[in-house]
Amino acid sequence: MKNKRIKKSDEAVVGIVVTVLLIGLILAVLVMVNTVYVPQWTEGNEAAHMEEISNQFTQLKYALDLQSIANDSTTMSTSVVLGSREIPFFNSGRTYGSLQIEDNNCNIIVNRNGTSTSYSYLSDSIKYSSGNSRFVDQSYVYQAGALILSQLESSIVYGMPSFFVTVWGENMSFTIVNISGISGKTFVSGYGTYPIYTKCINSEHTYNVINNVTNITVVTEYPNAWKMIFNNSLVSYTYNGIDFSFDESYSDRIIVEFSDSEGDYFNLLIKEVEISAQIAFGLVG
Amino acid sequence: MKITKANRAVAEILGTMLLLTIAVLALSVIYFYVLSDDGPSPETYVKITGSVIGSNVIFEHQGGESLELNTKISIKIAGIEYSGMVSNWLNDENNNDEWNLGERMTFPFEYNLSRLGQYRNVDVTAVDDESNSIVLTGPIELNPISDAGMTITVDNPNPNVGDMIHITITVTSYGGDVNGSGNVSVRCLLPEELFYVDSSSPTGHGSYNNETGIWSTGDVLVGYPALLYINATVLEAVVQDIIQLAVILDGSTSISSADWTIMKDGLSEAIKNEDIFPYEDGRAELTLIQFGGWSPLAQVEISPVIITDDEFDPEGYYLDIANHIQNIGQIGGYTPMGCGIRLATDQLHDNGNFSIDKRQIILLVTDGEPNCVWIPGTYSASSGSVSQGKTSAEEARTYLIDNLEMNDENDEFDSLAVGSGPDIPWLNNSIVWPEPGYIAPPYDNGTGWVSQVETWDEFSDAIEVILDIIFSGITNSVELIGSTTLDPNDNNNYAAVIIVPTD
Repeated sequence: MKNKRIKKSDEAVVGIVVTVLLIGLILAVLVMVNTVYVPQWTEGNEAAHMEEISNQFTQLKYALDLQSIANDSTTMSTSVVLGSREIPFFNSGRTYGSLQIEDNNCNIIVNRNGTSTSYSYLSDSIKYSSGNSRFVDQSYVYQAGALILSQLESSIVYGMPSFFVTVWGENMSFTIVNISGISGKTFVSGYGTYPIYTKCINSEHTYNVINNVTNITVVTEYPNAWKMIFNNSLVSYTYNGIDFSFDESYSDRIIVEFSDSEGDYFNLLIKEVEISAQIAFGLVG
Repeated sequence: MKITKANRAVAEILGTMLLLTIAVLALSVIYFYVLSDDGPSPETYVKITGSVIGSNVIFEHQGGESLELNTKISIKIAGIEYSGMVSNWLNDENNNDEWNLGERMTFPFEYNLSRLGQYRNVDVTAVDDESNSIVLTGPIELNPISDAGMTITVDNPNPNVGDMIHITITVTSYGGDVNGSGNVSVRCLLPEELFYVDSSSPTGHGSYNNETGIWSTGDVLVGYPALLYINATVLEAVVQDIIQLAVILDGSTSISSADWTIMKDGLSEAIKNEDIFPYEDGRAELTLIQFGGWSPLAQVEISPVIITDDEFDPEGYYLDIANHIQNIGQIGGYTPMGCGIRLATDQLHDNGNFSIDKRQIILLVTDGEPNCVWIPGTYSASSGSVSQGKTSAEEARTYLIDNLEMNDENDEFDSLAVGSGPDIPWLNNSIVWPEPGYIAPPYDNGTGWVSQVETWDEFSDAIEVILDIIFSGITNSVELIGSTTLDPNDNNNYAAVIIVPTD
């Protein structure tokens, strides 16, 4: 009986020590996974989600481009996933985002030579903003036909609007997609999947000609992207006698200025396509 | 040794200690490996795109994490590898010592014309130093651009049959990404009316194959044009197929009745001149359209008809046609140019002689700018602005080119502009075809042309020259058919000279 008691006591020492060590090991592993692995998995998750957003906004632009060229009022639907899912088991890493139709935050103003009259085209923008915890925050914006990626202070054009110079640089053509948000259905945030319904409400599709254009001003939160748009479209045509430059002295706009020694300037063939947009479920109002 | 209780206790204590030691050691090893783990390999999530513009390789940050300036990049061009840090070539616009969204890294290089074949791709690898991960790898295609242009001249544009003429072809490189054009080939196949004698290149640029018409010049350096001399004898004119000529006359009010008479007389006299108008061999089909009117329209003055010297020909006898022209009344009114072009198109297309293989020449005679908008389904128009009139005329010109399936080797749309009223650049760039046209005379380029005379008094001389060129001219052309450099400018890749033999 005495021997039995001695044996039990000895085994308990080793067992307790080993148990403590094993629990410590498990805790250490969990802490390490949570502090080292999970953040990187989260970052990868968020980066993948931003890729998904990129694809979804490309689809949105595709749908809006189709609606702007087709003389049809069929409603089209494009979905956007606002957030990324959490990392399994660790229950963390879920992120949220917001989708909104910003009211009249893009204004394109065209000025002509020899007259103070200007032409103004206002449009709403469709904007997704991420709420990432690890990956850099990004915004994808559809504005007047352009798809823009914004990150920190800068922005780039991700999809060109229908702005181009026609043969021999005499005429420019610009199709402005004028988005109009439907009141009460312009904002949503969270992490679910939300559709955007778009419908062409102006089916006339006629070009207006603005002769002798001296400058085009785009009032926007993304002047860098719009500078890129004009630069990419116009840079090949400077040899034709019409030169251009940018006035970048304002933070809320970019101004492209044309100069022509012969005073002819470009003619701008401009078409405005009005498309109504709403976020969330339900019938198109 | 005798086993006692004391001995057994010692052994158990030793055993326990050994077990503890083994357990602690084993777990220490596991702890060491677990706790020393650095986690998953760090990754850099960034989009970098690469492209070659001119002789610059340009990389642009297109979203994702910012990169440190010590990111290493390796660029391999034509077998030569260049490597360094991004900071060497980055335009850090916001000066924050990072490569951010929209910022570009520009790596300049130079092409070597003698090794042009090796410039296929740029192989690029970029490694982020912080995460030690590859952020960009792959090839970027290279297409070096260099503009080559050519001209062709002849020492005597009006030789007699049997004379030898000296043709000079010049290929010039205007450069671009490369200081020359690589392995240029041009084709200059002599027409049947010219008999090849010999050729030489005084600049040592390859040889000419008179059977294929191909001259392979090799590399042509900027500032050192390649020359080719061809000697040829002028032969008797080969009887050509019917030429379908449509003359579209502006009959608007801006033309005075006196000038209208001058125009009619000039055209009539040209048709009666056997040295100019080929009525003897019946290979000219003439269509005459007039446009104008206060209710703007276009009307047929002469339906498509083969002009002949057969006095019993009830429709095409040249003297009857000439007399008919002198009796055409002026419509007056507006300038519905588009209607005239559309009516001429349908007249040419719908008569039995039409074939896309035949040569179709359209000649627009005008003294002003169009100011009417065509009414679909008719040859009438409504009055409008000049801008609308031009758009309507351009659409009609597209209709003409499409319906007649015009090809740029045979067919032409030309214009004779009278006075200061017409918009010559617009006619040249948007109406004549092949475009862009050129200002004639001389009529030596082979594409559509605009000829301008100051007054109607000059019309008679001008129309005679034009008809002579159309019916008697031998077009000798040269065109670029290939080079190892990409040619960005089509405008100077084709040239022609027209030789009008005298009998």
